[in-house]
Amino acid sequence: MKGEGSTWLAAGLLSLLLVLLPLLGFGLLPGLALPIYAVNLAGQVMCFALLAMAVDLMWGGAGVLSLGHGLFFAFGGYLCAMHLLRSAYAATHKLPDFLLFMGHGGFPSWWRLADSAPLTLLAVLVLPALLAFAFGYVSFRSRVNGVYFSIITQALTYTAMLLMFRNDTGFGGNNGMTGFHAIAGLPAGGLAAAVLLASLSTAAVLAALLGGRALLASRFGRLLRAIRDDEPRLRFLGYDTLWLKLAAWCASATLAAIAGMLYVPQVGIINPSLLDPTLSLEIAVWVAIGGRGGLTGAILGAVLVNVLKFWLSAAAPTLWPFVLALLVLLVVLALPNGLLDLRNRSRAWLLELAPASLPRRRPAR
Amino acid sequence: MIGGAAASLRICRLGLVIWGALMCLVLSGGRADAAAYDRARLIGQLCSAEASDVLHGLNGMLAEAPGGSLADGRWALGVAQAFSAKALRCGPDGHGFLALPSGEVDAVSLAPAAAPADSRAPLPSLRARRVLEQVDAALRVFVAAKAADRLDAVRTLARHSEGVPANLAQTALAGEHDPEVARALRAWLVEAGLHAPDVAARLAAIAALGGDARAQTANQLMSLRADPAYAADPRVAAALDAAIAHVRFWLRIGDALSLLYNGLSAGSVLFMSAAGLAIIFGLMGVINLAQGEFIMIGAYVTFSVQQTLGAFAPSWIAWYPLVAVPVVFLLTGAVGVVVEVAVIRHLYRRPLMTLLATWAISLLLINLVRVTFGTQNLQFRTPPYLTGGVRVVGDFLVTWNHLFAIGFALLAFAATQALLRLTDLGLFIRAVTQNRAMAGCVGVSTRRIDMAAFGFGAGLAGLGGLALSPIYNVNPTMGTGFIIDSFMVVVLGGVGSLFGTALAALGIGLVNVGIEPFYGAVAAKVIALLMIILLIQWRPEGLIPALGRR
Amino acid sequence: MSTAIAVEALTVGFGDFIAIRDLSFHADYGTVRGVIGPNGAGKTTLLDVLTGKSRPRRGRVLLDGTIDLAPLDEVARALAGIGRKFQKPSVFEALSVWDNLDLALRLHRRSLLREVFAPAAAKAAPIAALLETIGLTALRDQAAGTLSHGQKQWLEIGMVLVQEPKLLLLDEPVAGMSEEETAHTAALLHRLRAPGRSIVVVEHDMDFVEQVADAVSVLHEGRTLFEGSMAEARGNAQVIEVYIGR
Ligand SMILES: Nc1ncnc2c1ncn2[C@@H]1O[C@H](COP(=O)(O)OP(=O)(O)OP(=O)(O)O)[C@@H](O)[C@H]1O
Ligand SMILES: [Mg+2]
Repeated sequence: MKGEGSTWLAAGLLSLLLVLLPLLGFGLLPGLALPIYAVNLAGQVMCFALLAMAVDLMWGGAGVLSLGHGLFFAFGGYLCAMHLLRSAYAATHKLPDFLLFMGHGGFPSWWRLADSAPLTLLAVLVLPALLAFAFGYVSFRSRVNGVYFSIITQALTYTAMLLMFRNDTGFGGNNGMTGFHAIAGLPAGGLAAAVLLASLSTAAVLAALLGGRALLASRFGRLLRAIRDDEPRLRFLGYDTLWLKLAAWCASATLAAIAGMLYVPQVGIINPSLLDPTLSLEIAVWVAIGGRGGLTGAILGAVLVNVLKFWLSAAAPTLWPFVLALLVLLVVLALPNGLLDLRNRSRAWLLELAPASLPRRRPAR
Repeated sequence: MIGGAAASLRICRLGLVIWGALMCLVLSGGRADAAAYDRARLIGQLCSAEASDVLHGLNGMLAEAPGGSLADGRWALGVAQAFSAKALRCGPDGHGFLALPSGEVDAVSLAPAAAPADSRAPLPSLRARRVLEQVDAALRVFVAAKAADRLDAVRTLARHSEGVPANLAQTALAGEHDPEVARALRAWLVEAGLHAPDVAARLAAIAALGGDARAQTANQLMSLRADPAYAADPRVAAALDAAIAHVRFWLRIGDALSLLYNGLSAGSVLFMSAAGLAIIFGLMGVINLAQGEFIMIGAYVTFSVQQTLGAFAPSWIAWYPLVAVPVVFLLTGAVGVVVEVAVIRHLYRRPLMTLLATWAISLLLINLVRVTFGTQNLQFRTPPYLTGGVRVVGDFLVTWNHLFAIGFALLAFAATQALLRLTDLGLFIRAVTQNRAMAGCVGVSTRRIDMAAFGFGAGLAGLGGLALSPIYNVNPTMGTGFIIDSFMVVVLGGVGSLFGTALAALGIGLVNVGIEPFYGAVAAKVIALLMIILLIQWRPEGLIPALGRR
Repeated sequence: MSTAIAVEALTVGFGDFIAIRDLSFHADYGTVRGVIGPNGAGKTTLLDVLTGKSRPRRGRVLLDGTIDLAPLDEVARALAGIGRKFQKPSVFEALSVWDNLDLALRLHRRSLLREVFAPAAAKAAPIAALLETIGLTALRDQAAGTLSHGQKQWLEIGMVLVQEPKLLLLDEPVAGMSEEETAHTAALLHRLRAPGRSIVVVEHDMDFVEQVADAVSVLHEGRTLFEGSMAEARGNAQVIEVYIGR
């Protein structure tokens, strides 16, 4: 499997970040300290990286591009926010604004299910995957694929966004849900919580990277790539690709939901903007820019684009959309497989220049 | 709050009217004709300290309103308005003066005269004010120069008709030339007839109402059922029931037609944006996420044409929607060609990447427009022939701007169909759509065809923007809402069949419009999406599958 | 000799174009059946119908002479033992030669889950043996996309063979092969003959067909023009006119 080197490099860097986050965050190294917003930023970017990996698993893995992963991301986020609001209520006995606004005297009774953290976690792992299953089943079964599938996923998030924008859907409408009190016992917005969440996000990315690589290297991963190459052929070999795609699709949705669950406490709010089709498209853009199929490209793309975005939208907000658009066009036209291509190309140039000095990489089985 | 705002608006308007009326008054003041009014007595009553005298005077004015001459009417209106604006000065001897902007005049003779220092400006009581308002309106019905003023007066009277002389409406109708004011007068007459003591008058009024099916008349008739007089007389009750049934029937027809009409117009707009999308998708397997931005560009080009005409040929400005047609088509088409040559052509075998590339293009276009034109909605000078509409049946109104969009879409459909069926380019487009490799083999330059088709699709979307400009808000992000619906049309209609596209566009337009009033816009979207997903289960190739090898 | 596949009164159309018209066809276990005919005769379309790629307008397709294939999709038919090599070489270009065969070799037809988690070692021996047969052992780790046209043909033949199909459908197996490779393929087909296997070969190379096939069907414009031995076909006036003579 190609890209082993970059996997280990990425895994190493992630581990380093994992170690450094608490050290720098709490200022344990003399003279070196990260401000809390930087810790927070790193955590958010890691969530985006996780989200990008979820999309890459499907796109790079099976050639199925989802333009609707914002749906699963937001699903995880809303579930997490429900739990945080319930625990905030348990601590302060103050109802969140959106319930008061809707004229409710209390939480709808079924929200009590979100009281338990393990149950919420279970919900994050299961419910988005169930939704993905239902949608994937009807789509894959009727052989909706390629561009059709991408656009229908986009329509799905769009519809979900319209739904969540309504106040009477019961999840805060366009204002969303906010007012978290504590995260795992640490005061929300505090340094400890920020470091904890950022470290958790980094660890999740690391775990997903290693797990995802193993998955892609397995026979399952090879079957996915066979689907990407020529799905009908695989069916003529007697594989019901419906179930293969569904398995990958549900796993991908779960990954996105985990990213959402970690993201929401870090930004302190969730609202339907996460369901905006633009976000879902941007995820695909991160992956395209970083490079598909190896998961490291997804991480690279998510980190680069988002850091650039954070920086530029503060420094030159009108410039950012232009930069993003031109970046996409450049990558799509010049580097068909993203920035990872750059490495392969430079390697090819080097080989041309000095054929003997570099060991030729043997393609691994 | 709201009442207060309305009241102050009223006062402002009243002020203007006073000024205008007083000017007329002064101009016509010299012509003294046979006085039907005892002007001096009237002023005396108004200046009286007794509230009953004042009311008496006002009621007299109201009763005289239909009878007096034009000059009398103008004088009376001037006095009434001065009274309500506290511009009537009363001397201690019961003599009246009017405080005009040009100076004080005697209230009876209108000759310049200064009011004595100890004169007072009486404040009309609340009851007097109510009558004063009626007097003002009743006089305006006869003397106001502007039809809009008279219309307003009639409506005011129809709202507060107690004490208004019975013959007023009839008299006014005889002298009225404006059709709208006449209609309002007739409606008022009918309304009055409903409550007339005379059964025949009531029956006539009910019949008249029944012949005019509107939601408003339905309500009027319904409220009559509660009137005890109707329970008493079976003839009236029967007539009422028949009239209600009739009105309801036509209302329902009108509502159904409105729904159809609105669906048709929504579908037309969808068709304009989806047709290009479908042709391009069929031809190249590429979904152009910038299609909505082509619509937006079309609208902006239309706007620029309007501005240019306004600057260089103002007499032509009303015709900008027509002048813009070729300009929009060519310019938007040119943008499409540039996009195809610069980007799309390099990505034919990578349709998913094309999605991202066209999204980047849409981002670029939106922001380019945003930087040059700003984010606010454009202010179009919608020409008179595209504003308003005509009522057909019930509350169904054929609005010209929607009719414009529908007609435009029909023309676009016909033109596209002609292009595809009758021209060489169309033949080539169909050939490449069916079998690209084969068409390439027999010497069709597939690249040129792609370019031309993409330009055509873009131009079509641009025309969609033109057709939309009198209906929708035009701003840089207006296109983003279209792409998802348009793609749904392509999914539903299948590729390579313009007929399927049109049918699907109408279907989705109707579903959206049809569901919205009952369950809301969101439900409409949800249901449309579910229906499409279901349809794909049953027919993956769309409504009308294209032939050919894929 | 029992019937492996029987096609009765088959009609297949695309739009208003009829590709196969009222065609009957059958192939027996233990035999090799050649199918020849000019371009566009409907040979590939026939295989499409057998494997479930195209749906017929009319007619029946029976496996083992009794099982109606109509309700089975292409996956079920593959699992039922119908293997096909496509006219246009169809291998998974991003995967290595070995991995292509690894996916083609099915150890657990009943359970996708067990197939996915089957240990690689369990498949190693048959794959290695097959690589020897198709002569690609040296290229086992190379991506299939980098192979030459002939090598892809071999690889795809290998992918079908490794499934041990009872009905083996080969669409132009020797197109683009050298004479030597063609002979090699002919020899391979001889070895593949088995009492429990029926082989259908669509080919334009007459000599190859004559070498391997027990009987041939000549298709023309969606109909069977002739059925019998290759030698008889060569002598048939109609066949000469529409096909061989040209
Ligand atoms: N999916 C399809 N849609 C439309 N036409 C088709 C389709 N499949 C096949 N055809 C047509 O059916 C006819 C028969 O095609 P087929 O591929 O079966 O021929 P063939 O005998 O295999 O020819 P060749 O020797 O060239 O491979 C051809 O005219 C072809 O164009
Ligand atoms: Mg063929």
